[in-house]
Amino acid sequence: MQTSLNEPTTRKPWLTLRRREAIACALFIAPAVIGFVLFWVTPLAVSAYISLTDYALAGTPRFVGLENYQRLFADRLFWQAVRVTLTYALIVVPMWIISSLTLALIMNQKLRGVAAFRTVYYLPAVLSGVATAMLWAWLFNYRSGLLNGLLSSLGLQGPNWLGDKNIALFSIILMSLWTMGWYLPIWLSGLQGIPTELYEAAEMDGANAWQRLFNVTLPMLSPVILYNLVINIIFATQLFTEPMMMTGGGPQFATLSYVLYLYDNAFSYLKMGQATAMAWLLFLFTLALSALVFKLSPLWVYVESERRG
Amino acid sequence: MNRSKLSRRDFLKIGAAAGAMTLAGCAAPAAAPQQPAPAAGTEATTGPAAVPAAGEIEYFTYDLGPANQSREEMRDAFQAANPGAKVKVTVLPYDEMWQKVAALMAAGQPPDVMYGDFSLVRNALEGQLLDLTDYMKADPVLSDPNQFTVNMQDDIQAKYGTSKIVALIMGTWVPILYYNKDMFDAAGVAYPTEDWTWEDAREAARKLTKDDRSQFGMQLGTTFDNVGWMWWGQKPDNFWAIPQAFPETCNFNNPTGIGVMQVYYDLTHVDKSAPTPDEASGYSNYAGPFGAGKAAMYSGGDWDAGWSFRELPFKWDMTLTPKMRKDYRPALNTMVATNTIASATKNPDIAWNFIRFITATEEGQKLVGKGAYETPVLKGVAESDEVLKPEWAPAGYGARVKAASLPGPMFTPYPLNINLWEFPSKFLDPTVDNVRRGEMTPEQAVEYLDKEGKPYFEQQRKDTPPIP
Amino acid sequence: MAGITSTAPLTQASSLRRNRRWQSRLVRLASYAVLIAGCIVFLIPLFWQVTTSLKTIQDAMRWPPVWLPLPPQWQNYSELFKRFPFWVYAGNSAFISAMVILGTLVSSSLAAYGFARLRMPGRDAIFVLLLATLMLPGVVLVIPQFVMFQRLQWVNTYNPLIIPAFFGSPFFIFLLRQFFLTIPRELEDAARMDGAGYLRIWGQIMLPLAGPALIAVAIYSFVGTWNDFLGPLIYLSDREKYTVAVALRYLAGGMRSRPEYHLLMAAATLSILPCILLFFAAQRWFIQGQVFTGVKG
Repeated sequence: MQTSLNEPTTRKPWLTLRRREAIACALFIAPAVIGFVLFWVTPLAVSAYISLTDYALAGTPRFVGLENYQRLFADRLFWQAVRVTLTYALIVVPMWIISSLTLALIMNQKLRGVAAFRTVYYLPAVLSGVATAMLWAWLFNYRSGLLNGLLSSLGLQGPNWLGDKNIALFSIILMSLWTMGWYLPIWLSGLQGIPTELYEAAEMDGANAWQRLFNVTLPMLSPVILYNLVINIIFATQLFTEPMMMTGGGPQFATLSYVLYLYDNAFSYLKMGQATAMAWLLFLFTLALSALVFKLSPLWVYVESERRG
Repeated sequence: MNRSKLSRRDFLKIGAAAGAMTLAGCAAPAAAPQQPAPAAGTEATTGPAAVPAAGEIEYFTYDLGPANQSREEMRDAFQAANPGAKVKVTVLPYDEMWQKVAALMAAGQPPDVMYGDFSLVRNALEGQLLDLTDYMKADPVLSDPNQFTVNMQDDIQAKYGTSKIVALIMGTWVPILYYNKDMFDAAGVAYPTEDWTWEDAREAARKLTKDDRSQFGMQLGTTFDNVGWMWWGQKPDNFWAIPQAFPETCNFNNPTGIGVMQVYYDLTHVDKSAPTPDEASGYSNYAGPFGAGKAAMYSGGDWDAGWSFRELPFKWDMTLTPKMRKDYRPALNTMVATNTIASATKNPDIAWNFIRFITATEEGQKLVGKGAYETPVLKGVAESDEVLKPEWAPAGYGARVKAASLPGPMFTPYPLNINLWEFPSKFLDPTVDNVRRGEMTPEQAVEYLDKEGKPYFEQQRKDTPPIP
Repeated sequence: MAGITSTAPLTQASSLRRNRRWQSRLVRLASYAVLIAGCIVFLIPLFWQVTTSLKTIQDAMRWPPVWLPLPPQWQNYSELFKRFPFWVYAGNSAFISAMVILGTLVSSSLAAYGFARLRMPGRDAIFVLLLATLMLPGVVLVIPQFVMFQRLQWVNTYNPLIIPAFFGSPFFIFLLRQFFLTIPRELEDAARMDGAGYLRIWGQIMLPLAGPALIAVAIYSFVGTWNDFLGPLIYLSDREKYTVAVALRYLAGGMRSRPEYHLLMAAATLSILPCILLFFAAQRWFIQGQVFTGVKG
């Protein structure tokens, strides 16, 4: 490849510079395109087929039409999993954003030591899901855990964080907030990108800090906020490791996340057909949200600007 | 045996070395099960050493805690007796084991030998387990029913729902009532006896419960197990079985089913002498309040004795599970531990020799007894002092052998179907939890189970492969 | 009177200014208080993890909690190594991570260069398609991929975890492409004049200049692979092949008596150590890469 690409002249007349570049481009992106076809397109097509069959890994899939989807819609645990996952995503993502944005606004006042603070807040976001889940299961332990230890030193009886069906999901949400530092850099760079003239003008008009926040800062950040809101709802619907490690989906299915139920169907009950049907429904849901993202997306903006440029 | 016990959190025992992977790597995907006629030349009386096969087999077993040690001892003893044969022991968490087996079976790279309970029924029905009928017929010990405490042939066929012999029974499991002697002494209550009914147990539990919830009278172990035992204690019925074979018996709404739920309801909700699900879930050790010294009695399996109670820091003892009816004591050998061989194995003879060693030789069975996870089935060994009275065990330890030897057929208290754990985890356990919380009466519970269970089992029947 | 009227606004203004200064000082103070309190809350779990790992099991389970591990039980770690072959698992994780980083860097940077610089009809459409997969939850593909790899007899090998990395990852292709776009074209043009081919331009000009972005990619793929749970859980069955994330499960509950939280926390501490060290060493790139794309990986 190297030599042919390096060859400055060519005998074949059809191999124009433009063609050469196109061939080179094709070669450069070939691995990615092959990977895309092998690991994304094909599995997606295969899964569409499996979702229409009864398949238990052994033997051959037996075509059953839309039965898997019908069974899912009649399955109360499927709806429970949907409910748990939506509850989780719709609570945790706004909370992530509000808490991290508040912190970013505080940090943005040219305080000293911001870098150190940012480090501390960011750190949990890079830690492993499994180790974190185990740590939090230990913190949440009803009898010897730190949280109830702290509460009891205040004279309070702590709840059964992971054992009470009314609380367990919120315990997992609480734990998820630990990783909200992930957003800090996004907000901080966004805040720094807001032209100072806007603030000066607002101040001239006599706007106080709150008014500046609501009339300048948030409107300027709103595209980024909206984008992060939607895309992280997509990511939050993939909740799996935490309930798997901490509660197994219990008590009484209070933490049965969509992906956990999908995993159980696939690998515990070997109902590959139903599991892939679940995957496809999730895919369609994601597709709908993604369409929204693409409308709002800075990603899209990048691509557009490149085309124009 | 159950999901919660051996669930997602098992602790470590070092697995064994790699190597079978290279074997497995070139194995073809399991298509039709191969019919493995025993080597023609071998005499009927062959001991393991008579087949000089050399090679390595992989043995999958789930995590048995301290009893993992006994698996390693079995391997060592077998290898010593069979030069050239190697066994690689792989220990997996309980849940994970069946999933891995299924995945490896489908990939055509199954382990050669699998320890197990009912979870392999599906594999038996799919023809993925080696037919051992001829091997067994040719074996002088195994073909003699008088040598064993169980009826090897009938029990296996009942258990796996096949007409073939696809496993060997290496041990039995029975229900047991454990009690904390210190607590009984402190409260001045007489120890349980094997004549106790659940009414007696209930009364004692009331006396042993403290109002501040710091001590419970009774703790019921795994729901799945206890429901089956209590059912059996009233009426020896194959009430759950392979749905395809026994579709009409999946029925909860009857006096027997209500009787089971009533025990839960009375103890937990009426008397409050057993912990509610919330109270029990706060304990992170396996045996919950009983293991933590907070419950006076525990209804569990005999495996608990060797597995989790060996080192309890208080005086404890065990006896037969309470009777559900005063005048009625059915046979209690309710479950069996088996070893099975994958049809796709490359070394059927070594695999057979290995499971035969564990099941039908004195040496192997003694190691079973020493591991104390199962009760041995070879009569001479099961009734020896070595098994009945290990030094760590309490005086009542012999109850596990006695219970296994009570006359009567082994029963199948579990919903034997292709997705063994689905019904309990989706329907049964949550329903019983609702009863324990007082959110459902026994009548509502059985009604609900039938409403959910009937269509479920109906579906299962459609999905189950035909019996080979 | 005139004096009064003229000074009134002045004093008002100065008191306003004083007020402002006072107010802003108060705000700053409150801000620090909030930030520091938040830091403490954020660090307590890790503090608890490390201290638990250094306690005796009795102290770990004691009620009310014992705050400090005195004296620290360093032998917990040697006990852990005796019972749990941590280094085997860490070695497996490191091997897989290294291969994934290698594969990702090479394939993604090649594709990114193609997408950023070389023109081909339909190129942008392909790029948008690739980008669309960013939105697709990976779990959707888990089952068909499993079926596929199982047919390839790749179950219980590292192949399913490593090989896909050699075919590029849309997220990293995107990240690197964005970076390549910021590199001035003049450099390439000069090289082209000297007769350099595309591969040489990629290797000798683009890659060295894209150092920070490549580091960000390497870091992300390391953290992602090291922490990956579902992949190894599904594909690996041989314990000797386990990664740290999957092996940790074996310590998570001693059913026979109490779970051994001191050992569990010791293992958890060790398992997150590489990520923590990497984070402190390379924080800059972590954050840069993230701001660059604005996407949560």
